Amino acid sequence: MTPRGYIFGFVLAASLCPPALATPERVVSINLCADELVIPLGDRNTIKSVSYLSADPEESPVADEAKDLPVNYARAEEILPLKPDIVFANRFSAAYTVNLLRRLGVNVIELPNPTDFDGIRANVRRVAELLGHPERGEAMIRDFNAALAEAKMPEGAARPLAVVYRAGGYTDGGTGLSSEILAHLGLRNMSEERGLKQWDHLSVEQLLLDQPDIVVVSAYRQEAPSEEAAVLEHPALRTYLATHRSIAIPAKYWGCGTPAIAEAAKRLSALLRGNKPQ
Amino acid sequence: MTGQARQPLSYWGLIGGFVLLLALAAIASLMIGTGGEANQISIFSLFESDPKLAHIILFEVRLPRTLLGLIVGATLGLSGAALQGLLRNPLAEPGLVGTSSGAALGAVIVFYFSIGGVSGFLVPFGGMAGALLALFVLYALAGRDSNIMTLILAGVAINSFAGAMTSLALNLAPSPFAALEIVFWMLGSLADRSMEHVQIALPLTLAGWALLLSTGRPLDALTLGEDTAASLGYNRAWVRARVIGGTGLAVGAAVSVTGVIGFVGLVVPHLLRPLVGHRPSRLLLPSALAGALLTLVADMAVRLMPFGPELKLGVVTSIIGAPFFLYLLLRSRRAQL
Repeated sequence: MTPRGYIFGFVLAASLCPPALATPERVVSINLCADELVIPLGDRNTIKSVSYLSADPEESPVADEAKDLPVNYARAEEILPLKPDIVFANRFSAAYTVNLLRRLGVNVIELPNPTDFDGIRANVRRVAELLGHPERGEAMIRDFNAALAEAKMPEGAARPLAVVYRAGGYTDGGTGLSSEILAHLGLRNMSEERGLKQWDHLSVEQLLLDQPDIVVVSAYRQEAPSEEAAVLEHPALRTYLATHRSIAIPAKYWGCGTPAIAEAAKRLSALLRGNKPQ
Repeated sequence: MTGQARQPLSYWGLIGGFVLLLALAAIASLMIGTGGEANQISIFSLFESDPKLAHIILFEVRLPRTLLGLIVGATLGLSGAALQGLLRNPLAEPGLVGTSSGAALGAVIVFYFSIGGVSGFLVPFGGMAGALLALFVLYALAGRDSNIMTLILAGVAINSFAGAMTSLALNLAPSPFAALEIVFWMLGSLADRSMEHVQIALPLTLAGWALLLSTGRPLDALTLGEDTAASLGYNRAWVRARVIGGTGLAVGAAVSVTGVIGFVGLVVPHLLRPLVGHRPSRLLLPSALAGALLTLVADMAVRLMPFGPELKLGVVTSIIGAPFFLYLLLRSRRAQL
């Protein structure tokens, strides 16, 4: 392309996408974690496309609501013809696509991954305001707070040692959402006490040696064979799970930092109260 | 080796043919969308209904993708041909001998640890450093005229080590999601690159090409033996420096924006050798053109997959290249018997 054509392209790109409107009329999300907020907070007729994972019940807590929405695979050529007023992405996804879209003047909002409940509330508020419905955000936060309060264990109860364990032998220590949920429910996070970080590795052997009171397994597509899922099938671990308190919580409830995580807290709380988990 | 029964095609006729095919492939690449619903939109009808959008998609989305396909494909074909000439070994190729994975390692370190800020213009220098390091190690291990097994084993060692170090670097990177991006670095992709990536990769790649294309005659002389080459006035160390330096520059810069794309540098020179004869000087330019052609076609295949998220480009080139590699290995073993 000639230099003049190049500049021409830029001018066109700039004029293609008007500045963000108070209530955007064409909303696109290219990441599941953004879908989980955009779908409930936006006006359905303004949502032009969501990520292909959003309608998958294994992956997405908003699968039912996403069923009839058009999907995308986070490719620039799919997004541009939709002429979005705003595109929601995750800060750590599709970096090349986000850069290209921004270069072409598209208004892309990269949502951070929250590491605590306040971070979740901040994301909800931000998306709701950008979509022109701050009141929906406040309502969502109220529901979230109420669900968390309901799940909270009474003060003064014993503080059992818990561990989050997922396929591949990964656990969550450090300061992150898993630690926040466990603390909220009055549990000690074994991985945090061991000095492990988020998405750190914990061997089956170490888990058995540390004797956690409660094992919280993050369940993700366990019927599909994978090397990582095989860790959860380890005979020694299975014996331990059968003889200790354990619960499998679908990964979709805490894969993203959204209010869906309250469902994980609720199920864990039911286990602690001695109710049969769903 | 030379003077076999088959009459080589007219060299410039061959070049002209490849340029024509390449032009057609580039036009096709600009016409083909990237899967999903976008695939059903014809760029021609889009030019009628929405010329602004069509212009942007054509020049800012598909053009950089096509250019990068040409750049990385030509680099791989050209450096494969030059390495095969220098090492006098038919299985030398940037992917197999670990140059590409060395480049990926260097690029990953600069990119994820934001060495030199976030502008990205230093990333190809990281790729270049990694590629050069891998080439030096290769030359130290396998050198010139080593047998095929030594070269392959050295390549396996360098590849495994660079791959493991890339994985380590991604695990240690500040971004918690870096570890998930190993697939891109190992299998390559041209998806959603912008003109900025072309600008980042092109200068070093062009410098590398110039060095590599300048080695044709000396590589010819080297096929006659080192003494003959020396008597013709070619300094072996200087030829070696240009092949290694040129490969390092071009592969390093290309891989740092596209990731590792395997087998192109292996397949292309082999397919062309029967057409141009066995003189390295006649192999270099056609290999660059045919490498670009193969990569563009493979990338179009990636885009035409009708379902799911886009496949990585290296998957397609490996599907083409791996059986070919095995065939070459079997044939060379039979020749040794």
